[in-house]
Amino acid sequence: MIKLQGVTKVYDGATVAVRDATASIQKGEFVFLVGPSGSGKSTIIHLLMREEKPTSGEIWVAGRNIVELPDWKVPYLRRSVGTVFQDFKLLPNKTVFENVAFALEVIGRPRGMVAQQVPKVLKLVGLSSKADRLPRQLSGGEQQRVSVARAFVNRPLILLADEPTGNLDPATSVGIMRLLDRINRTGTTVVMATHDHAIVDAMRRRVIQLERGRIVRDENRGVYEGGRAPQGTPEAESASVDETSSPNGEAAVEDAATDIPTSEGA
Amino acid sequence: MRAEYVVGEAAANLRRNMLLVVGAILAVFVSLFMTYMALIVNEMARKSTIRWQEGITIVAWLDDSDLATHSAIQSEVQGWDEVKRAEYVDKLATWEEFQVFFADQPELIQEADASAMPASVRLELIDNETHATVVARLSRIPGVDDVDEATDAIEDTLEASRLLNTGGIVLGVALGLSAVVMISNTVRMAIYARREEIGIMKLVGASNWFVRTPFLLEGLVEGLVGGALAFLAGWFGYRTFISNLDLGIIQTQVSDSFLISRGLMVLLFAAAAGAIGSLVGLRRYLQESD
Repeated sequence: MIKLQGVTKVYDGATVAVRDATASIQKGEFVFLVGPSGSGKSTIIHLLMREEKPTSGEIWVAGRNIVELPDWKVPYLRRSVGTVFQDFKLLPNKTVFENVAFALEVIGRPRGMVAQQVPKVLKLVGLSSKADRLPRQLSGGEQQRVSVARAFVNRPLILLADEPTGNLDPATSVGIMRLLDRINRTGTTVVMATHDHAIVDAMRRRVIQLERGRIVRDENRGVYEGGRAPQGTPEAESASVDETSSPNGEAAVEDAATDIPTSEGA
Repeated sequence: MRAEYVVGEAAANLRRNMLLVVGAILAVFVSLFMTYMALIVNEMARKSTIRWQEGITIVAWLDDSDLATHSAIQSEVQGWDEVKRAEYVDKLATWEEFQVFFADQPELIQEADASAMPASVRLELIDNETHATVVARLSRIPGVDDVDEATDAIEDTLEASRLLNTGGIVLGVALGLSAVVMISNTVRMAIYARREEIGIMKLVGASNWFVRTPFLLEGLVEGLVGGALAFLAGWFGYRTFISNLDLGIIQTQVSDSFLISRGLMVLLFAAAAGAIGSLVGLRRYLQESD
């Protein structure tokens, strides 16, 4: 479903945001991208939605090489990739219903389909009773539910979430995570960038850890801190080798990223 | 739904930046009004001086003798020292001229035909100081019916029309450019006001044309409204103030078909200015988006 092959992204010829990242994500997987601020999580999200192009390397999303995708086809890629952000990105002067409907209207879906799909997805996110409210009349958690509804209403193959719980308190975050989990169970591949330890540790899903633009760990059923994982895997250990910047670390990490048997079978 | 959406968005953009929009429309209006008037005055000058283009200052109208006589006269005159060029214009060519000159009086054209037109020999002199001598000599040639000469007024008109052509083009282009800049600014403002919405549209996969069309329409409307105003103001201004003036030698009558065809040209330019303006306005946004 998603494949990164030797992806490097350099800004202004100097700042390296992502360095030689290689990973493969299967259909229906739920993957956390973790790491401190500036480690390259958001850049990877932006690369996956073709908000930006990599400096080198190849990226495949839903069977398409999106690096070579011509600009005019980018909108069609976006239709199969839903996105959720930390700041919700709702239109303040549109109601909940209109915000969700907007996503279908601007890609030219017929009115009948809009009228049918929007209530369904609002029910899924538990906001049926608040369809006529404006975003400012909702709590942060509710606003993020609207944003998830908007990302999912078009039934995308992939859902990208960049710090979706970053502005929410822990209790509210759990609600959002339940929602993303439910969406994942419908077969949608979910990739979520986060630095929320509690969530990652509770969910026990595949974790890809970034450190200064480099993938230093790729672990199934992982936790946030690779070093403190209860069942320390060999992959995690090789990752910690890389953190000490040993010259051989790079190769070791690449093995870690590609040689996880379970990720191939998921 | 789509057409409805595009028109609705464009209308919202136009309302939101009313002052800027009015400015852009005025810029288009002034630029094209001036161009339109320049075209009309130029046409007046052309009709008034149709026999006097390219340095011709004397016309000797010939009687209906045969072609051999005509060409004999032409070659004799061509031989004169004062004459730079003696051009023979036959009945048919004169008939064509006549039709242009009286285009707005079709009843006159209906009455006449080529055979009623006189042929002529038209002279360009080496030195216009010799004018009087040449005219006197011409009148004495058998076969020459009548001699017309360009008066100072015609010379002045020609000069003014040349100036007008150059000045009109320069002004029109300068003002046209400013109109394009104004339109691109209103479009840019409209994009800025809606940047959040545009960002989300692109996020959920709206095609580029879906995002752009309302802004293109906005620029087009601004251009066309300005152009239509220029058309109307030019038409009524001409009909009210110029067409019934008596300017002596200068022909003030311009046909409706000329007014309409040049008016449509003005509208076309207006639409082009609108489209180019909005494309320029969209350009930066397009570069950022892709």
